[in-house]
Amino acid sequence: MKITFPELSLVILMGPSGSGKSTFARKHFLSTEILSSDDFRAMLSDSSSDQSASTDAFELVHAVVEKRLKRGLLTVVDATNLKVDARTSLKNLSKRFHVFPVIIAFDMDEKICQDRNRQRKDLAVPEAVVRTQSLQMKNSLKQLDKESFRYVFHLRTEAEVESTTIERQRLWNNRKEEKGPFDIIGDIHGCRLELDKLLKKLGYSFEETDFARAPLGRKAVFLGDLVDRGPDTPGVLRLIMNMVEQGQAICVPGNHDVKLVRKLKGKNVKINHGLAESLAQFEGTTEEFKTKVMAFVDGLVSHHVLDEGRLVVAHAGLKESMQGRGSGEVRSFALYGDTEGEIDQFGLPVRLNWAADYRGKAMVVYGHTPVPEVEWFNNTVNVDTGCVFGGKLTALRYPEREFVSVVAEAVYCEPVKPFKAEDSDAVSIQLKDDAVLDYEDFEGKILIKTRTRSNIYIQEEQSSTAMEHLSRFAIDPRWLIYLPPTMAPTQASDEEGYLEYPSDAFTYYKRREVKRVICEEKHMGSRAVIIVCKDNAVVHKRFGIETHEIGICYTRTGRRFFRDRELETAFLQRTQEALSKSGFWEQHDTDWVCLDAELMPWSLKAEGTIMKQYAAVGSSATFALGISIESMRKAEARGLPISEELNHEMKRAALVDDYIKAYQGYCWNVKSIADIRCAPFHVMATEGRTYFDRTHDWHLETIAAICAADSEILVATRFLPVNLEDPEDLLRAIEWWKKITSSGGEGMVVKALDFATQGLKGRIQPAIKVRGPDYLRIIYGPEYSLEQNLVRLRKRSVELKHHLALSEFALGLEALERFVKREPLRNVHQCIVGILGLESGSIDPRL
Amino acid sequence: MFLSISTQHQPASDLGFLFHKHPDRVHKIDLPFGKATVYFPELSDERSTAVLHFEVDPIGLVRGWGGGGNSHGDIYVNDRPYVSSSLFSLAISKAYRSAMNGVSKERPELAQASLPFEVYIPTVSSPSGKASIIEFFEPLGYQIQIEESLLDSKFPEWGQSSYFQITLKNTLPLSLLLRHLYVLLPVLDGTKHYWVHHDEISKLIEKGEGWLATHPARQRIVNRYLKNQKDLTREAVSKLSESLGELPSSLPALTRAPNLNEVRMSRVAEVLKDSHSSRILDMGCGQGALIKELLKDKQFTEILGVDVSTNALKKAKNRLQYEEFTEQQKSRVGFKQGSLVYYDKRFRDFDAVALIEVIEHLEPERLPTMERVLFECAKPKMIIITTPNQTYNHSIEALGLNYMRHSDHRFEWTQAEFESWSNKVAEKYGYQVRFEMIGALNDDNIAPTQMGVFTR
Repeated sequence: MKITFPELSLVILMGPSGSGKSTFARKHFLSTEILSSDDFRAMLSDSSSDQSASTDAFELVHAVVEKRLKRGLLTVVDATNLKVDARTSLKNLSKRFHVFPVIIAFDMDEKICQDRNRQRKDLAVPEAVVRTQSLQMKNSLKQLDKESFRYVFHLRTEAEVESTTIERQRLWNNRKEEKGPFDIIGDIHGCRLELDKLLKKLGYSFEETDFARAPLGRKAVFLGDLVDRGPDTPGVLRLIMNMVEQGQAICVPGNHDVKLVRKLKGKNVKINHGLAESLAQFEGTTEEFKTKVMAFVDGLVSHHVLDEGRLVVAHAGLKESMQGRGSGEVRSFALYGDTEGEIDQFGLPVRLNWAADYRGKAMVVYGHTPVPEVEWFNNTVNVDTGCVFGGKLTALRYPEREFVSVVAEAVYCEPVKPFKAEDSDAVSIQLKDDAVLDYEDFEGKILIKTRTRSNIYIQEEQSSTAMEHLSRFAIDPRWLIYLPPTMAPTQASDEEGYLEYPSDAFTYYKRREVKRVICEEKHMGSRAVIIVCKDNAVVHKRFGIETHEIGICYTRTGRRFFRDRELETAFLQRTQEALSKSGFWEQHDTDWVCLDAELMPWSLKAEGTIMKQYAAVGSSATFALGISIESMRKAEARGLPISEELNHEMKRAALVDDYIKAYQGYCWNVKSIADIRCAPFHVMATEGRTYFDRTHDWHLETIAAICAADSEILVATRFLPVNLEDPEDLLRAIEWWKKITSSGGEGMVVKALDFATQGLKGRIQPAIKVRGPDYLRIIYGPEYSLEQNLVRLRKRSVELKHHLALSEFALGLEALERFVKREPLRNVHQCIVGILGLESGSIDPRL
Repeated sequence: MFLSISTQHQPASDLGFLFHKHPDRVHKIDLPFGKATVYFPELSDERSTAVLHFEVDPIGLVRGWGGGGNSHGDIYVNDRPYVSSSLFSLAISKAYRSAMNGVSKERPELAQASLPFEVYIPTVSSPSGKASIIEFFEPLGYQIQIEESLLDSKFPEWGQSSYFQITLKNTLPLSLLLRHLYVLLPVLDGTKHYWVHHDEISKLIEKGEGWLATHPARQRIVNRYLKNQKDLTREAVSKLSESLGELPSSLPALTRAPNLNEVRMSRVAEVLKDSHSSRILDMGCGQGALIKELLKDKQFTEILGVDVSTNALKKAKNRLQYEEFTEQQKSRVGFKQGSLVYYDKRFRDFDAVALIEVIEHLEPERLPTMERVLFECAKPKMIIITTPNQTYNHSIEALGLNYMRHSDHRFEWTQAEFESWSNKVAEKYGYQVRFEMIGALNDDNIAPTQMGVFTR
């Protein structure tokens, strides 16, 4: 006997103890697929026959069934299942997850069961129990018909059990092996003319009037509602039926198709919504054609899962939990969408927006409700652009994600509800939906898949800290498309008198087979991310934010950079003007840009810290040491042996002087915009693209061109390309660094010339900073450079910092990539939460 | 760090005996956190000076023991090596141990005698300002001279530093002088380089013997010395009282008037009760003051406290002693981290949502988002919002002009501003709103807190 049931089923074994269920299960199913009540009882009581554990055991069985079905795994329940309640609760579970319930009944002679039981050493079931079970079995079998299981198999003899084979049947909707490419076409509604035009535009060749061949390797996918309302329903059907038959197309049914066929079959349906037109057009067709249409529509499967599960097509869309499943409910959803019987002001069903909640990995392409323009929304897209209502007939080219449309020749049908947008400037549904993000998407442990550094895990306490920070301090998440990564310093240097020295950075890259690096002057201010739009309208259209601003400037933790909003506006305007003047918008075919920059003076943002910390230390140290020196001099004059202490004290005082000079150099008063200096060093992104594929010298040269347009506030960054294999180049770079740092500069940043190689090679630091000896006084304290202090400071570990820098870099890049690809904002925001989360850890802030 | 102590007591050259140090030598003392040096820059019969110089190891500050002061967390440079602090007290007690104990082998009677001393410290750390120095030292009979200095002479607009150059003059036994310094320098500085625990009480009582119990600022000195740990300060103060033969310090009056926060919470609870709400969401519950109030009434069967800060939630649980709740009590009240600017399904299905002194902690530009979360997502029958009434601020003495009541407040609204925002929001989301003032009225009949009650 051959038993056939769908590959995704809940298999319920039924029969008394000793009827052979477990042996059968072991023979035909994976051990992980079988949930045996005996096993669960044993787990909970150390004895598989301890009946007192039964209730708990079944609770667990149900819990595991639930999780497995949710994950789309075939599951076998090995228990007697002789009571209606037991079977019903399992059946309900299968229904909940749109999985087929299957019963395999082991209807053995009682004697066989009793014999087998006696042979069992470990858990002999009493004879009386087996007798009762056999009686229950008889009753159950009688009752089974009423319980409406989709599949019931009845095994009556040992021989039958022995010879049974099982075939797992593929679900009709599962066409995962078909990888396309596809041309997915929305609701046609009898518009044959437009269909022909669209197919031709897509490169299909009409070999006959009613047959078009797809370009090599491609396939058309029709999303249903081929019929009604339009001028030539039979023509559309003829063409599509032929294409499907010849393997040139795939088709899913629409509600109109199903209704038309029911009418053709003579069922009593209401003639409305364009059905009358179809029926009139069918008058002239043959009975044979009608029969063919009926068979065709009846044979259509509600939805298809294509391309290894990456693509789902259904007429009215499909929630993730229903994809690749089969049930009446799934079919109904695929045909009619997510409705709950409410009717809107036009008498049409109110559609619950399943797409707003959609978080599935598969792209869902659907039609059903006409929309004026196609729009991506949470990885779903509705391609019904209302052709029959005078709109367009649209195809989505997959995987290219391109849309191809032809405009309707006429308004064939007046829509009940106007489907054209009243306001063409309105932002996309995605942006509207992104206006408020959902907490749930950022809660707990988060796994972020990045294209450059595999998977990054953000621990619960990290995401929780990040969410607190974002809620309390950050700007609107729609602006937060990028956060700069932390930057690792070099290993501590062995060079006398230095804690950091360029050679170590060069060695780092050399060891990783990088040949060309670039040294960039490191400005000492505060890190800033700057987004500037070509005009205010772009802010609304691209970022979905309604404001009078033309952009924003924010800190590395996502706070607004400027407390003085007027100053911010002035700054953004100046930057915008420089971009316009330098022709940036045209050169890069964009109307907005995101720049990574350093904003000076340091005191602009950090004045509070500088006063409370740096100046405080400077003034107290100067004063205390001055008094001490004076007093020691007196003691020396009195003849005390204190010269050693005095010298030491004078040395300390000199270091404090250097320290004060160091921080003072980074401070000046900002009275107006003219006092601000901004040094951008990366072009992060513009419309549709990022710039991680450009070398650093490209970035700096491109930016220099912008800076030239406003040399008062925009500062080009000095840089020096270095060939690591040329010793003279290295010496030159060290001299360059010494020159910068001895004239008040913070230091330099060494980067591999190619931005992109970092990603490919995986674990190379995007940048390493080498800070100057005087700058380090404001990090490690005025006296850090005394030899006894340096010896200890050199024992610093930069490992963790390096690791963080890599992860944060990958997340920043990922955030931008997702943003320019117009992914839902939560995908971008996850990366932002990730970066802030990683930054929340305790790591030596001096690194 | 630098401390000089001079005397003109004749013969002043006896100062070396008093400190138990040979005045013609340079004395070096190794201490756990650095090196102390004692020397006498002037020595004559007319006037002698002893200097205690203490060089703190700045790397040790970073590695291992933190060091207190402004070295917390992500702070880089540290003032500790240069200013007076608990570290300095430690150096005093080690370097001048016998002097502090009032012992002098050669001049025992001098050690006990009141002598004229002049103390000079170039950098006394006193974040609470000059006034504190006077408050603490003056009652002990010191003549005080204080000089301030700029934080940075290149940037005079940054203002004065919180380090003061002080000269103290007094006639008293040396040991008492040293004990004053030992206690009061760290008290002025306000931080400690170590964790304060129970042992500190006896140290304080010992060093405070003979002067602390009668000091008018006793309570404040004790509080600060013991870092405001209530259990410790209570014990210390009662010991000090006993030493004076006083009765144990009286408990705070049982009938004290409720403070504004208590008035506010009880009024909010009343409004919630009158609305017959039973399921309450306390958004921005902070340390759980409202929840505590609501728990008193059985009408409130389900209370959820939400705050964006996990730290606040922890404190709320501690304050309510949540861990000691029975299972049944726990099922009545819960705590979750959540945010007002993210949609959250967990906020749905409550009868009422309370935002008590919360909205002013949001950036104004995030308010529209908060409105949606509250009025569109949570959408309860009743929403209560309270916020400071800015118009009242001039009645708060401690508040300077143009300042807000809390450093984290992003705005404080006048009555007109709050009402206009509330009306706009109510209209947009289909709510009615009524307003109420909470707290004692000032002369202009303005209350410190304003409340909007939104219903639909």
